[in-house]
Amino acid sequence: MINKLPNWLNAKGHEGNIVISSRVRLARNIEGQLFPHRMSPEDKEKLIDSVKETIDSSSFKKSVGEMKLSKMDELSGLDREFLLEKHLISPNMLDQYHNRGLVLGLDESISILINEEDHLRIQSFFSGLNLQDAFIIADKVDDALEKFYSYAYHEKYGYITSCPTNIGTGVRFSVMMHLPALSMTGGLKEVQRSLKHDGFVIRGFFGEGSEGYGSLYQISNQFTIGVKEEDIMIGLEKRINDILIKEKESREHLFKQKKYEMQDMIYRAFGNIKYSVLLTAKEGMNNVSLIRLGLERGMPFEVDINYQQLNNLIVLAQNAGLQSYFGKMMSTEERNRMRPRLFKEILKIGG
Amino acid sequence: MICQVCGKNEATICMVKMSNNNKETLYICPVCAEQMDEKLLGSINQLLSPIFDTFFNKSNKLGYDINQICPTCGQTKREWDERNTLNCKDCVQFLDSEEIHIGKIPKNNKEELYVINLIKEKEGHLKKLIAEEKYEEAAKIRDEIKDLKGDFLDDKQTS
Repeated sequence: MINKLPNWLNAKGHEGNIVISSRVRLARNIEGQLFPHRMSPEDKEKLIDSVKETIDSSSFKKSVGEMKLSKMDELSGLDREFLLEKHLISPNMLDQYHNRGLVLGLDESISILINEEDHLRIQSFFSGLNLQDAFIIADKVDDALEKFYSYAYHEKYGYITSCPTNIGTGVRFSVMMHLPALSMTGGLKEVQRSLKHDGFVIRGFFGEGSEGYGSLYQISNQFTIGVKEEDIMIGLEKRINDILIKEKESREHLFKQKKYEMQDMIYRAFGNIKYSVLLTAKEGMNNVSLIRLGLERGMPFEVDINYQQLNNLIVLAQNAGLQSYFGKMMSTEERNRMRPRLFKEILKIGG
Repeated sequence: MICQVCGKNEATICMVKMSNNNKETLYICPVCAEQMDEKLLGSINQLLSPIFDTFFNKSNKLGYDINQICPTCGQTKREWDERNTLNCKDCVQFLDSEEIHIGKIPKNNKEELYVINLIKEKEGHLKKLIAEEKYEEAAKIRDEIKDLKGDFLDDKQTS
């Protein structure tokens, strides 16, 4: 179950060519208990066990469906890293995995993190731009959990979380987008400025500091109090639609002004994947980004390529993804040698 | 006594160093004390100040107010200022946000809170409607608030 690819990579959602995924996260804590960073290992284990009982109960199953709990301590290092690459756990959860748990829905679109920064973090993923459905699902899981736990809730401040920046609704809406044209033309700086002004933030694929990685960006809200969940969502949706328009305009502009340069760059990216002997994850991601841009412009390639293949590569090109795909542990050198094979197999290049 | 370090402020702290039967005394002010070995003084301060505070029933000169300790987890204002992290729900006392939560409310075990917030929200809406001179709609909301308040009070009296 840990080894498969999540459903939200299927590229079937709204604006799926540019918007990879929509995610909602709700942070919740349990009344009367110290927050995870101050809990004893025994109390943390007790919470994990109690969540297991909850998700196995018939009333929870009836409203949410089948879910499975894994203790992070019992997973291999590779499994944990792969979960991070699929964005199902946080970097913090990878570093400090003791006495922490992960509950996953069968298609990996719903998850509950136990004992991360907060007692419970409910996450819901959808492909393309679809914050609404992601929110409905996360909200449903929240309602189901609420029947079993009394949440730490304050009349004035709302849901209480360990980090003050999540207090209030405890909600974070986050959208992952592919923005190659805005990155190339430098238009991203302006986008960043106006997002910041309105209380939103744009980060790289792996969060802060990973900007430019495969031209993938995550855009999310920074404020959680004083505004209703739905209004935060509508606000972010509006920003995403603005960015979509700008990205499309920039693409139009680039292909008008630098048609041959763009075609050259994109076909070289394809050639890079076809002929390279060694390939790093970052190089691979940047090639996938260019091929994706070419596909969106209707450029023909020697094999038929679709967005789902490219989305799968976003995850499989990473270190743990690659090793999970080939089913063995590899050194950095081996990984770079095997990565071109992975790309060719997924894109069906060269039979 | 004037502080022997800066020579300006009133010295309120006396430090005594004992070594090989030699006794050295240093009188210093809180400002200089803060600047001296932060770690050493910080830990002594944290250890002693609650005791002093209980005796003198006031905030101590060096550090934090005795009243600013979370009663549930024991987090001090100073720790909060450094880490800006809540250790438990009651650490909300350190927050100084003007914002009020208006989103989701847990339903099952906070029935009362749910109604209070619903009323709060509707009152906000009512003000807006009045400002926009939408009186008919406003009257409707006013009645809803009245009903909610009525139900709420009935419940409280019977329970």
